Amino acid sequence: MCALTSVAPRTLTSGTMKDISAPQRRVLAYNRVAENKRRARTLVAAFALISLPAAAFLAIYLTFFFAVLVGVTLGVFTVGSALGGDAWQAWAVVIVGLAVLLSLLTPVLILWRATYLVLRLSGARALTDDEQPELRRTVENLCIGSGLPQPSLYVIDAGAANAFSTGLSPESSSLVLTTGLLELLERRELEGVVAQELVQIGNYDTRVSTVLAAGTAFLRLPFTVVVTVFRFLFRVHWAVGGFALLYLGLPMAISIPLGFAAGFALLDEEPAQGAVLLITMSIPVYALVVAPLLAEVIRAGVSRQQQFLADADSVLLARSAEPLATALLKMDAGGMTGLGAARSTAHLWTVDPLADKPWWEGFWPDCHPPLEDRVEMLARMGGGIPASALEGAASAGQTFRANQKAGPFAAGTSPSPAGGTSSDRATVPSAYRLTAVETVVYVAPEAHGAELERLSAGSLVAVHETVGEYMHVITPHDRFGYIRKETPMVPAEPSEPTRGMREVRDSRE
Amino acid sequence: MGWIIVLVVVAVLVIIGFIMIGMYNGLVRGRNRVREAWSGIDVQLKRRASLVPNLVETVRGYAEHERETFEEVTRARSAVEQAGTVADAAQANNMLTGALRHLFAVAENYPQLQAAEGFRQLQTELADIEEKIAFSRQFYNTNVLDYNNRIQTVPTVFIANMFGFRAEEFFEAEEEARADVRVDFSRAADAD
Repeated sequence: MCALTSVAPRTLTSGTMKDISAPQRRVLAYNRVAENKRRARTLVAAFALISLPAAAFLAIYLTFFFAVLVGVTLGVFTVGSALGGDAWQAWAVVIVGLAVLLSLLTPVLILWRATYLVLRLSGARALTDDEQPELRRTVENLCIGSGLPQPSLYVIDAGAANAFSTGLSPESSSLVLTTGLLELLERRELEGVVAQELVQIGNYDTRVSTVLAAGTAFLRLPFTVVVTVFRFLFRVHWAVGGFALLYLGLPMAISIPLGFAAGFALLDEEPAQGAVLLITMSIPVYALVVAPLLAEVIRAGVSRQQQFLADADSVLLARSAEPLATALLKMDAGGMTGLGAARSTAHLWTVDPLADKPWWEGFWPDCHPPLEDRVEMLARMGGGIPASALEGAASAGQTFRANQKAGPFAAGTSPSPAGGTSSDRATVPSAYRLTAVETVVYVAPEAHGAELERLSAGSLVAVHETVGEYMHVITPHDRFGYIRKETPMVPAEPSEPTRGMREVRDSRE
Repeated sequence: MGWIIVLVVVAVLVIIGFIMIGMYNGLVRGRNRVREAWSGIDVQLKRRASLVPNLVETVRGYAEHERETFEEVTRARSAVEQAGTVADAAQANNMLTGALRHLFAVAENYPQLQAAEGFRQLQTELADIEEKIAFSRQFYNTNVLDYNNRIQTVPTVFIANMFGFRAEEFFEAEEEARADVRVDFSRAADAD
């Protein structure tokens, strides 16, 4: 992530900038189509090749399984006789054939399910016809400007501001934006971001990225499953997780090196058994560690330049560079709270969605160019951007982020309450802890009305909206009522009510 | 020895032939792309022209004395509908843009008209179409630039001359609809 949250943006005038050579010339979108189609094909082949060992293991397992099944059906009860002592060549042919078939299935799966998988991982929902007319108009106009068919529109209900596109061809592509993005950006900035995505759809960057995301997700699958299971157990209770780790994880972790040692030792005396043991032990290592790592290596090699070129191309479509630059700053400063982007889709997003990375992921190359470089390049294309505009964008993003943190229900789901006053309470933060010894909740927003219930100090209420002198609230007993506006209370910690939701998002990989 | 030379010459001729076919097809594709882009503009121009009578009727109901303005708009509209060439269409379109701007400026003097639902709808629709015209013009001009570059540069210029490919016209418009606007952040900062 870029460190702009702590460092004030520099003045980007033509004098102080670093040399960026690539995007100075005019690049027409369809110039890179052929190249990207070739890259997508290469990627699919690479993923099929990487999945080959796992497929081979699966093939052996399946063959063994069917052999037992056949043995049982035919009344031959031992596995050895089912496999038939002398017919091992035939079985070897079956196993190899099955392995090749399974690894050929990988590209079919990736190409067939990629778009669905990526949309599914992001938790996007299709935009209904009457939603966001301004976004629709913006997309429509930019499609006219670039001669592209209109993509299907999706939104993610999240406070973070970000966007991506997915699909294997311009005709079947989807554009996904977060509700936070639609709230945070001005119209021209939205235009810049949409143009950036459309350019990628048009030059088939999107196809490459989608294949990359699906392939990475596919190869990460075993790792993800294991991590998710343990994470779930720890969430149930730390003792359950600890127990599982101690009695399941630890033996597994110990038995693999032991198995390797035993396998090497056996190689001299019993070569066949030793080899079998070694292969058996290396399969989980390969599936859990090597394959995901290989996927990351491929991704680090492919995707870094794409965003850069797309930024440059999109300036030609949107006809101005500054809105995109300020939009990028705003999105980055706005933070990625609640987005829950899967790691395998990280490279698709307009700005890096993995905001608060653990320290050990800092060693891995980012799949986005540094934000400062992107802004600088845009500033140069647009003939410089005043520092005040950049600072304004960054601080607008920070304010947006602060508002999100304050209110647990604020993240894109509820608009700020309608109320004439501009008091802090009338704006977004909506979960409060009552501080008075006793607070009366009324049935209707009128003086001396019927009482609904009385709440003690420390009760948590969700403020829905302001109605005259009263606030419409949801009580801890899930009842709707009204309390006086001047009721003493403090904003609640955001963690409590949203915890369940956040965790569901986190566990998706 | 002789037949090798013949074979080489034939091979070279065949290769040149294929390259020429490729260039010719590329030019045809480019020309078709320009035509398709033009039809994109044409659709929007027709849409705008078809809204004009409705608009004039609506405004006339509130401001019947502005006869000159109405005539100006109507003239520009029929010019758009009769335009034959790209240049004519561009000129007529600029005329209509100016006339409509004048009409909307006049409409500012009639608060009742400003409040009328139908008028407001027409106004937003026309603004939207104007933006669409700007974008389709951009797409058209990009394609024309690409096509013209190809038929005026070596080696495709020979093919172009041989088969009569001619340079296409740009759709010129007053460059103000898409002028860069300074984004104002003071509002965003004040909002909280």
